Amino acid sequence: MEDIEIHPWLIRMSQGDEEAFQMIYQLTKDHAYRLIYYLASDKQEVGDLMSEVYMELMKSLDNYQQDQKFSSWFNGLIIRQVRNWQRKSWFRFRIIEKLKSVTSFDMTDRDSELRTAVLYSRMELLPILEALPLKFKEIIVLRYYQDCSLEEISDLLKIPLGTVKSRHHHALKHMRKHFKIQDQRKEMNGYVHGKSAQK
Amino acid sequence: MSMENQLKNEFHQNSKNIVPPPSLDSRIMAIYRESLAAKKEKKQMKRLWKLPNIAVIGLLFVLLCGFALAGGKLLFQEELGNVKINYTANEEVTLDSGLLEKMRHSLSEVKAKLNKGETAVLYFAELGANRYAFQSVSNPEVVNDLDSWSRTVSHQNPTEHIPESLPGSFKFAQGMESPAYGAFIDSAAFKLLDDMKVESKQTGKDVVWRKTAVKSKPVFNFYTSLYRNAEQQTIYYTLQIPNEKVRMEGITSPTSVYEDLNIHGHPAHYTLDNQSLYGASKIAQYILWMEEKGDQTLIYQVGTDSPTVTKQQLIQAAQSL
Repeated sequence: MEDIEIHPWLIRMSQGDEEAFQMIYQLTKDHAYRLIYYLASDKQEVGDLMSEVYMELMKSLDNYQQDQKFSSWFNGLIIRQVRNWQRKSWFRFRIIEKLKSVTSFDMTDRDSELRTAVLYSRMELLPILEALPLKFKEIIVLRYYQDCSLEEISDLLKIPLGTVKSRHHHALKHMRKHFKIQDQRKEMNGYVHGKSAQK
Repeated sequence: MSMENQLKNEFHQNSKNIVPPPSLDSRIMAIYRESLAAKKEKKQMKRLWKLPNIAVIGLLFVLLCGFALAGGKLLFQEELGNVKINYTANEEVTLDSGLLEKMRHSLSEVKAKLNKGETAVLYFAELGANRYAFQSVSNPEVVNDLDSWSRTVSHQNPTEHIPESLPGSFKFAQGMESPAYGAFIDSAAFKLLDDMKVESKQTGKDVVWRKTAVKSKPVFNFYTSLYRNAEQQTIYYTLQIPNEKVRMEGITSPTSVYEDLNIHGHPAHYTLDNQSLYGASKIAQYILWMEEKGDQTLIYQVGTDSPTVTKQQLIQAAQSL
């Protein structure tokens, strides 16, 4: 998604053009959904969070300045929405109720979510990511999924570079520790199964 | 393979599997249409703003002395057009002289580090959860030419005239599109507070600060004109124009002196704050009043940081406008 490609649509969208919103949505939805998926603690809430992100995009588009890189600005918006979502559990109920009144939930969504969750759980490291606090998870996702440099992450999250480095270090340390425990468990299970098979 | 590379691989492999569920498209389009309809309705409602008791937005505002806290003695409450002001005195913002000095020093130190046109917010860890711990500072661009400054102000509101001088031989010295001191703290800047608290905790720093982004559509437009006399006393005159319906919460220490006045037939409010965080001295005096002109609500403030300027001089300056 190049800025040059998206800018004309953003201008039309800010003027209330539905076709422009549809185009922006099509250009950004896969990226937004994946980023939210990796950051959200409850994967069943990704759809609701996605709605929140696009509602916020409508509201705050006037704050977007053309000389900013849209993808970075949009990533910042997504991260803020995920943080707010986690922080305001009381508010979440109201939003969910509101969303329910707007649209119904399709059963094929459930199948799709389930399939995604199964494939996700088959990975070795990504499930460990889930155990991390959001502030660490943000760094890992931006660094290794979005391929952002630590400086870019510092800009995007508006925190000092030193804080980014420290969170990055702690997140990897935490993941290594859990990976090791997971590995030991696997080995022990293999040993027990092996013993039972010998009998 | 290193953990870093494995993470990259897993993200790469797994991303193909993460696709938005089929019904999400129609769901988001429905939300878009609902939100657009609400926006249109809101625009129509704006035209009916004269109706009383319309809800105001919960906006926190730094008047001169910081954020409002629950409780405290209400000094005044006033509502005109699209502005509602609550001003309270609260014991919680009474600072000991050491801390006051330290805060004043940090604010001027940060100001010195800002480029022209930049603003910053500061977190003072010693004040902990007290919202007075969050302060702002700016280094505004200044205009020295009166004609050019008058044009800038009258462009925003043609009824406003910037005088060449104020009673007491105060001559125009400069104009700036910002409050006289500090900076407006909007919700985006307020969101930086959490990160600053974390940084203070991690690094042990008493004072943490961040530059804030300049918004293309600010909540308020500020026009401050500064006047100086031969004795180097200063009086400023700030015109503050809200761009949306706002509720302002001002707070001062109970040690401040407060008095009701009347300027041009409008209720006005005089405050002498002896714990000012900004300006040349710790004494700040100011008179605030509101007027409706055209479809705008204008907030006027005439003040000084020169301790030798009297209340009467300020009243004369306000009445001359």
